[in-house]
Amino acid sequence: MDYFKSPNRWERGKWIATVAAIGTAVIWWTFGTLLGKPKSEFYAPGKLTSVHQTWENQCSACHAGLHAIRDDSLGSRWEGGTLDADDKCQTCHRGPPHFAKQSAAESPGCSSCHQDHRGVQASLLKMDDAACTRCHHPLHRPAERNAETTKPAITRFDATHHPEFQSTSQAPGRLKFSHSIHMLAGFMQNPGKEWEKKPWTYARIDDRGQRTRYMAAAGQKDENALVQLQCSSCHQLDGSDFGTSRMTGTPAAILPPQQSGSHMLPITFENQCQACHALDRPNLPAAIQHRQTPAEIRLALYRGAAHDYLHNSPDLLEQVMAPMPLPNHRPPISRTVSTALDERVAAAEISLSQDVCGKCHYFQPTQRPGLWPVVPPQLPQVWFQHAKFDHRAHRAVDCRQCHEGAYSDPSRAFDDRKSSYMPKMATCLQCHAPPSGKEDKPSGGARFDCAECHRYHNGENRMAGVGAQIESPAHKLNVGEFQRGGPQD
Amino acid sequence: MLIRRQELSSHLGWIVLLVAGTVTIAGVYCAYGMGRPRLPGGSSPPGMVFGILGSAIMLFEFFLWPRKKVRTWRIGSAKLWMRAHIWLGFLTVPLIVFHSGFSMGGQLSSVLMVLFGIVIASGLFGLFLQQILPRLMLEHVPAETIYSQIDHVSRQNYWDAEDLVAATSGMVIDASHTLQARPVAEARTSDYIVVGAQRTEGNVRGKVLQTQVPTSTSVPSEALNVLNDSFLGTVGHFLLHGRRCREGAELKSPLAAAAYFDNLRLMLPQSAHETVETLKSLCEQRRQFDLQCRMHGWLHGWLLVHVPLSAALIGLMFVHILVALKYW
Repeated sequence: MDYFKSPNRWERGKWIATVAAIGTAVIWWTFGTLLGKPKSEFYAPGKLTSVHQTWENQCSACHAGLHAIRDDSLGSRWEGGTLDADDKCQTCHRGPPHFAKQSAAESPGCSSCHQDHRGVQASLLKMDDAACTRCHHPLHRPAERNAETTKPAITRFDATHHPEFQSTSQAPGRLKFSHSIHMLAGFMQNPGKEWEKKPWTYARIDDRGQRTRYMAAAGQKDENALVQLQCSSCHQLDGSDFGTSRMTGTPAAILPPQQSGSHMLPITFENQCQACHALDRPNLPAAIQHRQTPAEIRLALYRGAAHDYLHNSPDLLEQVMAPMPLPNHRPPISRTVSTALDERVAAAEISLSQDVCGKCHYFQPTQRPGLWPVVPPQLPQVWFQHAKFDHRAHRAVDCRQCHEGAYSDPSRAFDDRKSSYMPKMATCLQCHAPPSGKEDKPSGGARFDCAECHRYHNGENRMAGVGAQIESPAHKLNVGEFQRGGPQD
Repeated sequence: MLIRRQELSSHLGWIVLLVAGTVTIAGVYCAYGMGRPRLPGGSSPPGMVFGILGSAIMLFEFFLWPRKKVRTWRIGSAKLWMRAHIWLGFLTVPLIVFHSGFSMGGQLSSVLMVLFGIVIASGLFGLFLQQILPRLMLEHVPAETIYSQIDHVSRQNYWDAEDLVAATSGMVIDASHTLQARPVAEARTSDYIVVGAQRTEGNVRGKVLQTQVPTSTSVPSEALNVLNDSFLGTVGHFLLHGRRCREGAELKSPLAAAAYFDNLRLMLPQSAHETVETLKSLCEQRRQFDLQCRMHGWLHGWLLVHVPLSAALIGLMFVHILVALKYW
């Protein structure tokens, strides 16, 4: 009657299977962790992103043992943050704060936005909008916004939850410039006007190098053909695309040899304007340089005029010099030459004001007659001050799709100051929105999350200001230390 | 554990606990995760609490095994333990799912999650079987005996049948005339043969002991040889080995067995018919033992998955805890 003391085959099987299961688990774990299998693959939810692949098996490069790395973890609550793990991140990346006066309490941990272990192809810069809107949602202050841009909250990129672009809606600087005229063949908008009687042909471009450049850009071989500018004639992503290599005096300093390609190169007088708007006019006593002050110009004009006088009237050099003039008294001979020089310089200044400088620039009136100081154009080189835009990523799209206003339109005002040719939010929303539409008319589909356009660390100028002070690591590593994830303890 | 309508009140508290717990867990998780850039994971405050609760419950669940082994421990009745095992086991599902943040994680946590899923599924399967099989066994196996004693009882039946056939036919039981030598303790000592047979009286069915006086050997010798051959060639093998034997294959089905014994009865004189009936009854018992074995297999087979994987789950769970605390 002691049959119950000996296990039946099911009971035996249960024991055997239990031992086998535990043994299998132990062997799997042992082989998985000790015998060469990457630890991250075994423990972590995914592989590190490609830029961190060097530390795929160096957990301690980023993880401070027993200290929290996720700022939403219970451990970070206990420790008051993820300071130890953030220190590890900042061994290589000393990201500047969001804004200069940001306190430590306001600064989230690195991992609150940059989450790794999501696969080799994952981007550390792509994060959920909630990382931004958890602060920006309540930060919205309608009183600080104008009526047009006031939105109930910034929670996502669409017409109702994001304000209109403010950077691009402002007046485009202080410069007399008409895209409409410059996009016309020969720049002839109103042929009846005196200054437009003679259309611009390539032959009118005096500088041979500049003439060759613009003819090549337009694919034109006839010098008597009307000049026809394209967007790319003035706006290029890389300096080498201007075709200025054969020009004499190529302004290399203003065309850096390598560009990121995200922004158009800045417009400079020497590169984009000088070909047609040359400053060495024959009626001026001297050639002047762009960016010279009125005083410098005046001095140059005096020198030129004096040189002309002496050159044309060498007998002046033979006249006896008067004694040193008394205060408030000039010798007669000097007064005569001076008056002549003054008249010549004054005429030149008027010519400059009306036909040269004043053609594009506004002046700041002063008490002194003559050439007044120029109002700084203040054209933004980067229009989006709080967001990024990559022209290179949009190079397949015709410029007209976003900058329609820049194209020739007879009904449009000549002066660009009256309107910005920058696109509005609706232009972006055509693609940067959730996918919708039908097969024959697709709509949306491109990314529209906050991080697609906005950067956190010191905005778009991470290497400037506070970014420049903090970006570089405090301690530079050698290659061995770098591969280990930091200096040896 | 059988969960019947009559006993629902004893489960009601557990069911309320399960529902309230699940709603609370989901509510806390959603409230915490609202507006966050990503779903809270295991290291978040609610995730960590869920993980601790879940692992504590899993440890408790696993403790049922030693609790069953040592029934003398005075730490709650077996029924209470079983109810807690079932309903708290269900509660671990929302706890662990929300602890995981709806992500499988790395290989270790994926394996843990798969093990957890299999353990839960096998437990559900076992619970389902426990609602059906005992009732079926009650209906279809009235001759049920202790599972581990089936072979012993089968041998006992064989020896009873062997005595009966020997008494009927005058066969001498020796080494050449038996399929299973009997130990000395089992040697027949009285002039009476006692056979455990199955009887049905109205709605009552069960195993009864039949006491039978050995019959005289007034049967023709040719007929007796038929009885001996049938017993040693077919019936004896079936009584000993049941459906596993090839020799008694025609007795595996009740219909085929009835036909077999009807045919045998035709070949034997009237005086041997009662012996044939007894053999038929013993074969029916053997079929029920086979059915009981199959049902027992279903009823306990799931434990071969549930228990070992639970042990592996508990072991790897501790690894997971250590790793998670180091790299959380």
